[in-house]
Amino acid sequence: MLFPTVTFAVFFAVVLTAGWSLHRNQAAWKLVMLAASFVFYGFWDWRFIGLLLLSTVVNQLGAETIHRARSERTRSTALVVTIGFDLGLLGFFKYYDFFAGSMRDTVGRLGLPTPPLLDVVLPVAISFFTFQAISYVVDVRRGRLAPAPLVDLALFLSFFPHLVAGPIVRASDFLPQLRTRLDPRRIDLTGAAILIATGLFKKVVVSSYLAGSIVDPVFAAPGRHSSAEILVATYGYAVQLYADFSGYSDIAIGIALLLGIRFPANFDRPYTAASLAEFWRRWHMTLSNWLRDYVYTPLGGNRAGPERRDRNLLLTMLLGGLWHGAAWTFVLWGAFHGIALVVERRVAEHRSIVRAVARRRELAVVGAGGGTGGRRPDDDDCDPDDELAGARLDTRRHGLSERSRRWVGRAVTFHVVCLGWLLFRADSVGTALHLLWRLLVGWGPAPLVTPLVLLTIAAALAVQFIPRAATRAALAEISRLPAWAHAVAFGAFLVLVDVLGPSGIAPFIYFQF
Amino acid sequence: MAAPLHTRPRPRPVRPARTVEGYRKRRPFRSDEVVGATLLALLVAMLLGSQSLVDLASRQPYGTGRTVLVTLARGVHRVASAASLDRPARAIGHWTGRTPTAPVDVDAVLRGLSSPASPVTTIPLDVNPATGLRWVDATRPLRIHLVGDSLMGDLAGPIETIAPVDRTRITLDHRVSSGLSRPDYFDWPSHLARLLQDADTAPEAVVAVFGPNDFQDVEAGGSVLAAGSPAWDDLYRKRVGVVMDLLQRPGTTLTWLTLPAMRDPELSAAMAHLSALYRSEAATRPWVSVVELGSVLDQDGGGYARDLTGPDGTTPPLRQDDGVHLTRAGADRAAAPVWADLARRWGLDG
Repeated sequence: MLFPTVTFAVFFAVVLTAGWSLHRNQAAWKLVMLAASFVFYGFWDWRFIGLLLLSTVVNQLGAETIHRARSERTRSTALVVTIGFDLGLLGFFKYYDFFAGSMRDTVGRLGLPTPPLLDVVLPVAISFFTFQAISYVVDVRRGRLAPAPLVDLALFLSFFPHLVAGPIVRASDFLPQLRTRLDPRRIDLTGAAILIATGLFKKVVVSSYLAGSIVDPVFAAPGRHSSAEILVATYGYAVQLYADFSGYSDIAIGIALLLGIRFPANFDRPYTAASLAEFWRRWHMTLSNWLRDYVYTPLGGNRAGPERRDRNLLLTMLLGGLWHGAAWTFVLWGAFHGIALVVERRVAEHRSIVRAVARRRELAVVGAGGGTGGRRPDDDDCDPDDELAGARLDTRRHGLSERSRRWVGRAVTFHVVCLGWLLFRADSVGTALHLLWRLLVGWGPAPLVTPLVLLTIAAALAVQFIPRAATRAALAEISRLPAWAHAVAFGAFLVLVDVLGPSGIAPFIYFQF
Repeated sequence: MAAPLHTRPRPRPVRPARTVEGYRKRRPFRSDEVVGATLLALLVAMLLGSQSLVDLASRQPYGTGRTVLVTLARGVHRVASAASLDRPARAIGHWTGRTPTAPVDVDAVLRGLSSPASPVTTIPLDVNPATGLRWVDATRPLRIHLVGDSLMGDLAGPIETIAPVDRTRITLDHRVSSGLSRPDYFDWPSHLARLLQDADTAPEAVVAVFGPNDFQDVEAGGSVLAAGSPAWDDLYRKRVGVVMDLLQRPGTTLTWLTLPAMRDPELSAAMAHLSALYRSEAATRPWVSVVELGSVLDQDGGGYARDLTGPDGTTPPLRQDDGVHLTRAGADRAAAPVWADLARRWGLDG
């Protein structure tokens, strides 16, 4: 059941009505939501409801064992076994055929035995509910959570707004909300309506348009397209992927809000980032934070020196790439970002050291020259003819102000990210290399680069720079409107999205993960 | 005493985004207002978009469910039309080209094709004697049109990749979820007839794949025909024949693709049934050639294959997780015989 369909609209209307009718009876509310979530999941594939239930039961057993264990050893063993089960499930369904096929194509050709290919069907949502389950047992082990009732855990793992494509909600964010009664007087209708409306527009109109008009044709046959088309298609894919994924996340968060549940944000204007590290604090934040807290930090994080830190960073990004799909292009994409982050960090550290050394020298010279009485050389009352003026350290570097440096950083970061997206989107390493080659040598006309394509990409990027204060103020004003005005506007907007969008609805890109 | 080190300005910290910015400043609503607003929003959307609702209901598989949905949708549409509430959506649909154009009289087009007095479609005078078709070169590339459902979406990229860039102009003209069974969803004969009206831009080589969305009950003459029944077969054959006959014109070729096995045994049997119909209709039409996708995508015995070992010794997955669509490797494999057929017929082997 896809979000932007009449079927889901009817389903949600029923669930919303039933939910708020039962909000005083928490147990009944949970059961209704749980049943609705299983109906939602069953629409995708009823066969895997059992898998979801199995994951719930095993993780609950693990959490209970960890919580009741008297010894550290038992707690650790229970944690390892439970996580092993979760990763085993994910590994089998998602990666078995990939690794078996890769082995067959490498060592198998040398005549060595390889595991058979099983044509395993990938259950929808397995990447998401597995990571959420792991966050639950680890947080219990760390003492941040007590084991929740089984119904609560089942609802946490299967809750339909975030089930099939995130955001990856932490148990510590979700479960406490189930312990308190929903407040029927304080629902953020405006925030939810805006999120759902913008999410639908991004997914149904923007993402679909860019996919059909330039991204899919160019990536399918790079040899037929010029450098300009490949460049714009790459920018277009950056926008398409953001619109598709953030659109889904927005809808999920908005729907949860209407049901009285708060989800964390998943995107924070990622293309405004001035560095790769900042990009990863703004893009798919729930996954980044999960990887930081459950992979990077347990590996040692940055606590054991720069070499270990870089290794941990690279491993974390490799796993992040692999999480996205069973293909070498995703692994390479993860490696690309890992290496780029390591390089960025090393360069920043080197620059800090160079600046610190230069500063120390400058202060030593200034001090020997009669002293400045402790005055800092970049103070405004310095003699402009001072021969050390050129060595003054202020907010300008290489002649650029902080603001300009930030814009340069944004442009560089955006292009580095786009280079990564090229790997991410290409169906093979060979196609990615072909695209890069054509980007350099494929001069020629670019009929697919139309004004509307350029305008769509430019507008989608520009919107990310709207100041937060302006958005907050606008939403505050809109919230003054009565509920019926929200309804009429939203209903009309739904029709506009339907008319502007393509016929039929393509699934969300992140469903395949 | 040395002055403290002066570090460069710290970058502005990125505050973690709240779920929705500034929610504390917004007026909260009560649950009854929220439920009421949601239901009202859906009602408004149904009234303003009532035509879409009717279209959507009409496209459902035939049965009691569809009948109920269509009745409800038409009721809503009557109310909306009476109050002109559907006008804005129709106007925007016209502006964006979403509103379907008037169907072409396909029967008239077919009669025109079969009539000896009908004007001959313009063809170049320089005809390749080996093929009976015009010469193709870089100054006059071959206009290839790829039509069909989402399977053609999988095949298009590899066909574009394998075909010579300088001698071919390829247009992908597919419709996801479409087929020949349900012209109420998308009217392929009308669409093709419209394309063929302009001789200068009309496709010369058409490659078509249909089937995965076609094996469903259809309505004809007021009754519903069960998929695979003799009456259904007759009707479907006629629809296939219409598409094939539309492309019976000098200087035009049609390559029809039969379907590979599917992972689901029922679907696989249905596709085999349709493929047999395609073959029998093509057999009486010399301008139609058939390419058997199963010959490169199925196991030796004709069964479904998720992956097969290729000539390079690797065994990539050929089918996507749904057991229907093709991966890039599968589409690359399928594109080879398709291009071979086009190249042979148009003398592009060299």
